[in-house]
Amino acid sequence: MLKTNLPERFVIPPSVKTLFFIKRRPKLRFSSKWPPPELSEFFDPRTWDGTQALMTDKPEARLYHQWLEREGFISPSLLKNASDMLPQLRDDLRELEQHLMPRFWKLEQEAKYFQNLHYLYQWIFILGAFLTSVLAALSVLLYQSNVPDVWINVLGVATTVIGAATGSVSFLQTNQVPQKQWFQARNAAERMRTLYFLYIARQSPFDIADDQERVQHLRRMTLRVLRQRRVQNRASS
Amino acid sequence: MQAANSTPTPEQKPEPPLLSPEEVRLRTEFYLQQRIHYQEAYYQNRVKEFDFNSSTMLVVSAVLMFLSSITSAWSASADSALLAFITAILPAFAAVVAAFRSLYQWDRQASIYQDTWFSLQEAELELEDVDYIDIDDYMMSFPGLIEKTETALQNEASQWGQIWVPTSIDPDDS
Repeated sequence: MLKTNLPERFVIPPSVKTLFFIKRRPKLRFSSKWPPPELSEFFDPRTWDGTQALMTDKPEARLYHQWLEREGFISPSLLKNASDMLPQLRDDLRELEQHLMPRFWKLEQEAKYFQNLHYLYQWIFILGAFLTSVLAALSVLLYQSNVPDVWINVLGVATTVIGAATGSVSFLQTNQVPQKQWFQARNAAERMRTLYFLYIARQSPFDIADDQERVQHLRRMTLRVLRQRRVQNRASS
Repeated sequence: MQAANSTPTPEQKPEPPLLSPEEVRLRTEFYLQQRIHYQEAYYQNRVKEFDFNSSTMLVVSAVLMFLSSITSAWSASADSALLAFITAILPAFAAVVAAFRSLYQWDRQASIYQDTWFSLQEAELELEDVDYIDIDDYMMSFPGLIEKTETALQNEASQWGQIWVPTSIDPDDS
């Protein structure tokens, strides 16, 4: 059997670090574009060629290979033990890199972006409600403590600001519907992943003997996934 | 265009297999490693994380409930503004915990992932044990392995939206 090369993050045992409010806290800035900032210094989307990256061993190509493995795809480093069968498999990987992977990466990044946005908005609602309660209780405390009125006014202003912020976020949430966008993008990305493995396995709908026709069908199927997402999006807007 | 797995009519010659037995073995191993084992590790890791979060938040809720009861009783007899303040904000903390539990739904997610993990384990049974498998067995077992695995994963993914099944070539798409 091939050696298992699972990403390290899968073997970290649960600890305080894995508590959701540390590990899963939403980020204030999150790019919806692929490549994400941590890769963009290596990958310029205008000149990036994934098919070339599969064939070379340059540092940026190796980074891409790691990225592929981290997402559960087949990278050149996994092919090293399988030199006899490489030509056919390499051809399949090249076609997938050309026609499927760019669309997958885009959907994957969009799914992560909208997921982050959904949780960010929800966190703002939850923490906004919490802070409003705390500030109200604090106002009562200060009122009873005979502190100068200015402090009570400051708390009033802070409560108003928090209310305004949650109101604005509520407006954004209603219009952007990030949860729906997240689900749709994730669904489409997972469909792409399924297509990837069906293509590698040459199983239906890719059980086609003619190479050219099989590639054409791959192109049609990936386009269909994108089109279905677009239709879903239009129907829900 | 010809589908190699279609049943040949008597006048047609049977089509050669798309892949040699050795290549099917290799692709099966890649599929096992990168599709099935990858997803299994992902689900197991997430189930651990969600169980941990769920049980930790349960303990936090119990501690808050305990503190809330104590401070309420105490503030009723003590004339302390600070105690009244603490009594007032403890339910707000409890509400935050409840809101996060509802937002992340760890128990529900863990249950879905656990079920999918079992389904993947079941799909793996399509393949004989590695110590006993013959190279020709890969040809026989690979389609079943893929079908069961993809069905399990699609069932899990259906929570993200409508279930989608990749179909054979649709004439409308050409």
